[in-house]
Amino acid sequence: MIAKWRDWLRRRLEFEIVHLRSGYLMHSKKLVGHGGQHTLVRIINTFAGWRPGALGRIICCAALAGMLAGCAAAQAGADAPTTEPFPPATPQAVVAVSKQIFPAVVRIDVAQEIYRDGKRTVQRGIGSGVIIDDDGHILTNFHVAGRAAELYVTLYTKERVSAKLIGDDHWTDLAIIQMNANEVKAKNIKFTHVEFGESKTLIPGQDVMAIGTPFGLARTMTLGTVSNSERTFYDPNDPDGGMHIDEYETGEFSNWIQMDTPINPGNSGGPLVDMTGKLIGINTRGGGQNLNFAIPVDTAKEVIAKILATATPEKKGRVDRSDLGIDLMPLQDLEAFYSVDINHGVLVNNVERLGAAEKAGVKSQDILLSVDNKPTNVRFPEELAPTRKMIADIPIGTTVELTVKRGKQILHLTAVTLKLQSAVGEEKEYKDWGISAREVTRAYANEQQLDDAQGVVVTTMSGGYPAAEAELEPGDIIREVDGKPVTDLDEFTKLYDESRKSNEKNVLLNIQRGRARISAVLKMAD
Amino acid sequence: MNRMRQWTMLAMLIVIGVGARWAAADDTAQKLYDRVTPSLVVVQYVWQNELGRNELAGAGIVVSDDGLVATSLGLFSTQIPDAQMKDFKILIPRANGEPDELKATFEGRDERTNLAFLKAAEPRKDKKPWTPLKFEDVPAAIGDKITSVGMLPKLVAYKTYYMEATVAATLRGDVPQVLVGEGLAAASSPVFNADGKAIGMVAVSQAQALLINKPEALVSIQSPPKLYVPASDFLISFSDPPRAGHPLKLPWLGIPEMTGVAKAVADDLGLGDEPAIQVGDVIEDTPAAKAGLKQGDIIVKVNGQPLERGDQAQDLPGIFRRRMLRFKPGEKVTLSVLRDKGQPLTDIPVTLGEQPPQPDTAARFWADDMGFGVRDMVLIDNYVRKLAKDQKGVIVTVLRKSSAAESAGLHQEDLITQLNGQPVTDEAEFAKDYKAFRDDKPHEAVVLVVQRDGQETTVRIEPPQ
Repeated sequence: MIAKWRDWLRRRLEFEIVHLRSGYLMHSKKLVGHGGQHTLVRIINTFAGWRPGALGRIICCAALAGMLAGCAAAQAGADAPTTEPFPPATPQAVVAVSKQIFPAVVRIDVAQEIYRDGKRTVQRGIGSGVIIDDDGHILTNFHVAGRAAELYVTLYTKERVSAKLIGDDHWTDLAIIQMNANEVKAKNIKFTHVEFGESKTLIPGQDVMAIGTPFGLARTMTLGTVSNSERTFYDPNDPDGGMHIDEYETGEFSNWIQMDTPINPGNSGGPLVDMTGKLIGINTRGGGQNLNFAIPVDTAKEVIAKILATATPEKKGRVDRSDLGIDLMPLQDLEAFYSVDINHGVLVNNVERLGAAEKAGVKSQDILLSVDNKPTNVRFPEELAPTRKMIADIPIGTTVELTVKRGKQILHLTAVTLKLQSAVGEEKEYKDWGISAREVTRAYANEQQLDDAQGVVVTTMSGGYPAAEAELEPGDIIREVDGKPVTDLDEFTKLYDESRKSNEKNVLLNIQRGRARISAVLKMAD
Repeated sequence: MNRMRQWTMLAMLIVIGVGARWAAADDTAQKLYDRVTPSLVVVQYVWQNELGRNELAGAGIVVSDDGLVATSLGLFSTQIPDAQMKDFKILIPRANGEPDELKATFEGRDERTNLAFLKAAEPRKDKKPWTPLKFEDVPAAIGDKITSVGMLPKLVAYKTYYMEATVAATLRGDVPQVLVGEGLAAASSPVFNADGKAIGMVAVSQAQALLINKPEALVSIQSPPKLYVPASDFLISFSDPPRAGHPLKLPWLGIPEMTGVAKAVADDLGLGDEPAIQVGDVIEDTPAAKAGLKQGDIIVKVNGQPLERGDQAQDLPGIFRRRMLRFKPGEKVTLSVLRDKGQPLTDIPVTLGEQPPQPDTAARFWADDMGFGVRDMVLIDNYVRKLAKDQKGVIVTVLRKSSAAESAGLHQEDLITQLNGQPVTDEAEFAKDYKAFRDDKPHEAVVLVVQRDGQETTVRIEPPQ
């Protein structure tokens, strides 16, 4: 029996590793977002994936994980030095930290907004979160609570309260939600919040603990060690590939903590703590049974501050970043070719059309030496994220001096930073026509080699509705409605509403498909 | 296992044969079979590409008394450069023993009709004259009995076989096709009506094997094709076939993207029931652009005649393209287009140009040491990649698995714009500079700048040690 389970585990591991690799090698032009959208398995448990029988596997999985963790704990207790700041996972410490951290950890039940078959609908899932202050703010993953339409939080006391999305940031895969204060008060719920630690001082080998809701099993504690504290998923074979969770660009601005602490779908958004019980990361991804990844708390601290500073009762908090529109590549082994000193500058691999750097006259193959005299030295892939972050942290619209080396020349170019945009634009449903559509962002236009960022792109369609009857296809860009230009999603919504109100029988659309322009007529039902 | 399968196949074939004999009560079938068999041959050649050799063989039909053989264009894919094809042969099956092999020359492709031609380059070993098959444009009606005689795969010794069927429907996609109820002999076999006239050729579909020297060919016998192309669609090839060294010059309009106008759009534009196509995009400086055709124009007539109807709106562009291919470069064609709703049609005379060079004719270079091959750019590359008109470079055509180039992250279809910091102009320059660099600095990495999906990237290829 055990052998059978081990076999299952191994197969599962192999599957996920293959998944991970194929995620990188794949470079398909999907509808939205460049390529491998399932780069790594995201750790959120969705009901879609829940099958009867799965529980048995999970329990076995947990049993094995427990055995492993037990061994690790025993070993750590015997051999590890007791010096701070890396206290070992002695049995006493593990129990003490568990006791301390459990009241700050929650299970999150979420209904996330998604668009499917031309309609706005929700997808239910389970994740984890950690309470960060006395106001009941909870830190979790964007892929857990971002785009949330409904949120419920189950506390350590097993009490359940509703919550609200306060703000989110898919670039770091973080979101903040807040428990309904009235319910908390009415139910007289007590909770504590986590203490923040530091991730920059983490070292491989350091003992860490994860707490969360794997496969819906709330308040699960697991133990492990930091395997690597500056993991990057940069792939030179696919420099443009980056990292995506679902369709969203993720992880460009910080490296990851890699740990062998067992985490599973449902652990997403839960805390990774050191053996003093301080928060050091947010559990986010699993690549296999003992290859797991967390967002460093130092990244989270900045994102929390920005989201809370911008959130209002009406509007979600957000993190704004600057963008120069350049793709950077480490210079390792290319220094001699570009005649630059070792650890000096970064290769501008690609300059995006319609971007700030293009306007400033930056060319691909330039060596970017500094931005406003701050050096941009990237020899190794691990140095990319900090450099990208340095640029992103510049206030939007700032005039900056870019020092670049082109051949033997040193040039000083002036650029005005633009707001960083996602290729995934805002999305809405248009029920009567049977489509959902997205804003064409500058980033999307760039990725798809569109001439401009006008129009809206059809994302999903309902069979039998006018758009499907007119043979529209996902990926089509709607450029005109009854001869009137569609500039963006708001304008499209306006034209759609007008057309509905006037009870038009035939709506004439002008569609951009590839390089072609096509006319289509939507025949509205009587 | 394999042997088992062959025996099963043979047993099946015997059953087919017996069935056929029963069906033809008199000796008409036997007569047809005896008359047609000498016209059926096998064409075979070697495709020697950068990565290895492939032997391809398919069924052919003798169409003239000097040994000209017609076969499917599918056997000589337009992706394969002529320079990579060699050792052409015509195999004449014999009742007892191995077929006679004759050296042959490749005469060329005819994209108007999806046929390709080979010609015997030496006299027949059996000294017999060639027996050409003459095709005739005789339409078939629903319910007509038809027969086909085809070539069995190599595994069953290239025997000929006979099948009977009934016409079930006539279809009009890109290519006109006739659907039969029962099944037809293998792809590229002739089809006959009740009078014994050759009225069509069995269509090549992706589901049925075209190569008859591969084990998959047996599948065609298990599930025989059901479609044939009427002779009216390909007779033009026999009056004006391509000749070796003189490839057919195809006309060129310069409209790479077209859409069939859907019924709702046609109604909205007041076109009624007329088939029409919409111009999706016009390439600059092409005959269409020079004549003033524009994106969005709706073509309703060619030389005053309405467009040919298709079974679906989406078939219309393919039908139109094939219609245009039947003109000659330099010919003047008048297209009547609707530009604005409610306006009268505008007649646009277009002088057709000659089709620009295609990727398979572009010069190629193979960097064996690093395992990648490149070719010159052609006009269509520039168009599909949305490049500036004066963009130069070479295109990666082939990558050897696990080669230095592949592991460095070079992709097929990458456009190489720089080699070691120098702009790449064309294949010849690239080959020269590449070889010079590799000879000069065999241990240094080759640094390429490539464009992929509109993005630039640097690829550093470490030389194999």
